[in-house]
Amino acid sequence: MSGSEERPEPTPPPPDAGAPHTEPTGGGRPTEPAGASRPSEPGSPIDRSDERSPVWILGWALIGVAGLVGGAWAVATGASTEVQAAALAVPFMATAIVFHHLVVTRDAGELSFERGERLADELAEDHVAATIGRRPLLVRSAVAAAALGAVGGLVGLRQLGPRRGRGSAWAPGVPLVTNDGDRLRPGDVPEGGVVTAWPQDAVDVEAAAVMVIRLRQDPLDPTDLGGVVDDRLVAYSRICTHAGCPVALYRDRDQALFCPCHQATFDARRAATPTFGPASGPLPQLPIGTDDDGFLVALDDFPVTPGPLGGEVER
Amino acid sequence: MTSPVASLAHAIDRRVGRSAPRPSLWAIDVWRLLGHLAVAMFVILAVTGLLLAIWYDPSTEPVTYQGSSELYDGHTLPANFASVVHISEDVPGGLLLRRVHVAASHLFVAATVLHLLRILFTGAYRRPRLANHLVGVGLLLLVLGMLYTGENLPFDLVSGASLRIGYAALMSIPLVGDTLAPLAFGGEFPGGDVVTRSWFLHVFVLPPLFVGGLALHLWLVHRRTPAEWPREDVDVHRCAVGRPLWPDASARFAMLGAGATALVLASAALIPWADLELEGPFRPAEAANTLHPPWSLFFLSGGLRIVPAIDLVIGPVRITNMLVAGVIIPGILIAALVVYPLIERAVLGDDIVHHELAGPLDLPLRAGVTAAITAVTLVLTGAAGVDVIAYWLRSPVEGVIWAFRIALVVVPVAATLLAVRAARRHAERAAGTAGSAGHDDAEATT
Ligand code: FES
Repeated sequence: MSGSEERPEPTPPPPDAGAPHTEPTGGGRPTEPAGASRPSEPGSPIDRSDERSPVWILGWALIGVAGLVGGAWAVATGASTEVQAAALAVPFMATAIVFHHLVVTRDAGELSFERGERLADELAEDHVAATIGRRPLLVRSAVAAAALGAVGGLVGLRQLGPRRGRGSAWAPGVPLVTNDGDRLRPGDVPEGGVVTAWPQDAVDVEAAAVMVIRLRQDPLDPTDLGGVVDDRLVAYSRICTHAGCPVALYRDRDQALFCPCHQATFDARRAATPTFGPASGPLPQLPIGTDDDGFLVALDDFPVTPGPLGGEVER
Repeated sequence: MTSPVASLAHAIDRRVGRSAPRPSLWAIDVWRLLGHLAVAMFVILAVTGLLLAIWYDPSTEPVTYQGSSELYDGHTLPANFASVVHISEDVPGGLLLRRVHVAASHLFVAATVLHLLRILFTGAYRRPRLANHLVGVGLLLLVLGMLYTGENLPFDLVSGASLRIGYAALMSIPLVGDTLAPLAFGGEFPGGDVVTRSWFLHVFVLPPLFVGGLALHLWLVHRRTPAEWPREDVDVHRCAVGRPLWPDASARFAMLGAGATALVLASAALIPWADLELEGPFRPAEAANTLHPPWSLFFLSGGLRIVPAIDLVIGPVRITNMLVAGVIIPGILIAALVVYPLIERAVLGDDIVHHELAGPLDLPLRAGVTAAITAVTLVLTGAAGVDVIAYWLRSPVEGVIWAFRIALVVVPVAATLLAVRAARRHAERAAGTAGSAGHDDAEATT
């Protein structure tokens, strides 16, 4: 306490210690930034800069208006976005500078008051907190009721709500087609190449999308070898079993499939089993064969529903 | 006699300003202005968002785009993506609006998060400001909600990934996931009307809720008065101190808002914040080579990348990586923000009113917990970039992921221990200096 009296008085003067104004200074202090008011302490540096402020402000106001007009002109004439942005930044910058000027020159210091009686809403807040603290039984029964309600809601949701569909648009004999709807032949997939394919009547139905891959080596266990064409042409669901992103990347070197979303990696030679990353399930293999005209067809649906593995166990 | 503006100013002054019997006091320093920066950014977002809403079309129906975008002229595109191309290429100032909206959203989230950290580190959530802290956590959730729903609107490849992951996160919830996901998305993704819903939430639901919550938040700041660092000239426990809302604090808020707006505009001149990705519109079963959400959702994406594959089946319940990294870990982080202040209060038996702000190291418990929360969030955030880091280092991504897996365990533990130790040291030193200061005082008085 005694130390604070010895310190040089800072500008702006801090409120008096221990003697807070319950009636804040209103008197000669400026209350509006634009008013032609005089600072309360004559002779301070505040005085002189204050006299200059109208010119200052006028200058910045002109610059701001110029920027505004320039920005409007830039937008109207279709000038580049960079010019529009730079021009429109000017009035805001000018406003900030003017306010900075006002804030510095007309600073009337901090205010302080004794908090005194606690306010009604603060007491109410305390009351709620105290009730929660003092009545564990009340809290516990509220939690129990909420939990019960949640379980009831979940059961109701399971019974009444929609369900994610099972299976996909694939079935025995459904032709594989490209993005453009053209039927695919085994020869359309070069060695080491990947082609996205769809069921003929469900192009762009994401859950049914498959990648047809011509491996460089024979597929290994646990690949369904009965669903492989030409010994090396396999088809896997394109939808990641982690979070459903398209598994868009194929690395020919080690015949690995990559998901760009979170780096799940699948071994294309081994039934697309995950080898690294967050996915725990393999990409379902679509068993494929050729029809009498040599076009690729599905031999069956996927063995399991494609798409991310959810929190429910498929039965 | 007096102009209406002047009389309004007088009325404000008499109620909350310098001449009020109990003026509304606001703290003015860099840390305390972060919240106001967030408010200023929200204003920019609201203004630019309302303008963007004039041209945005939430439908995913295919339309033929015709306009000055050479890349897309004559192409059939989803209506919402086409409307975003239209705003960017054909509406005067449209690209600027989009850039400013995105730039402001970055600063909005950054200011919100730093503001929250300030509250945690300084113990500003203690009685009598606990209720306001809880309101603040609610506002943070609304901010993240606005961010996610906003990301979905352009319906480009990034939106596609974010929608798929959101769908999978809902699906990963045991017992009800298969129902919840199609229910929330209005059908099975990508067939449902989820983009329309995102748009409805982003424009009509979340911002009004945010405005309401913000009003309550600011009203509570006003009622409780700002907490203040201990200082020599004022007994901050007994007295509230700060700048009166009118005109001092208001002038500073105006200065801050105008300056931040100028900064956002200048950044929009230099950085192409929101230019359409060349990867183009959402297409079923297509993805770009690298996909990243906005940085403020990195902590979700990072967890999904480095938490290992999990497939734990217990009866009808399946626990997956998605459940752990996409639901449980973020749930714990958010819950910690709510629960920790209560725990601290119970552990310390601290029921008194605190008007002084604490230093980050003043309490070992608080130092440890805040360090742990921050460290986990930071490691997860960094982990979202494993593919980019691997590319920089020219090394396989597996190694980078393993490094982050180890870091996710080691860094928070180390940070917590270090913080607790530093806090203990700090306490000892404070005790030491308090003793010597008392000694000095004694000398001075003799
Ligand atoms: S969606 Fe494929 S790794 Fe996450």
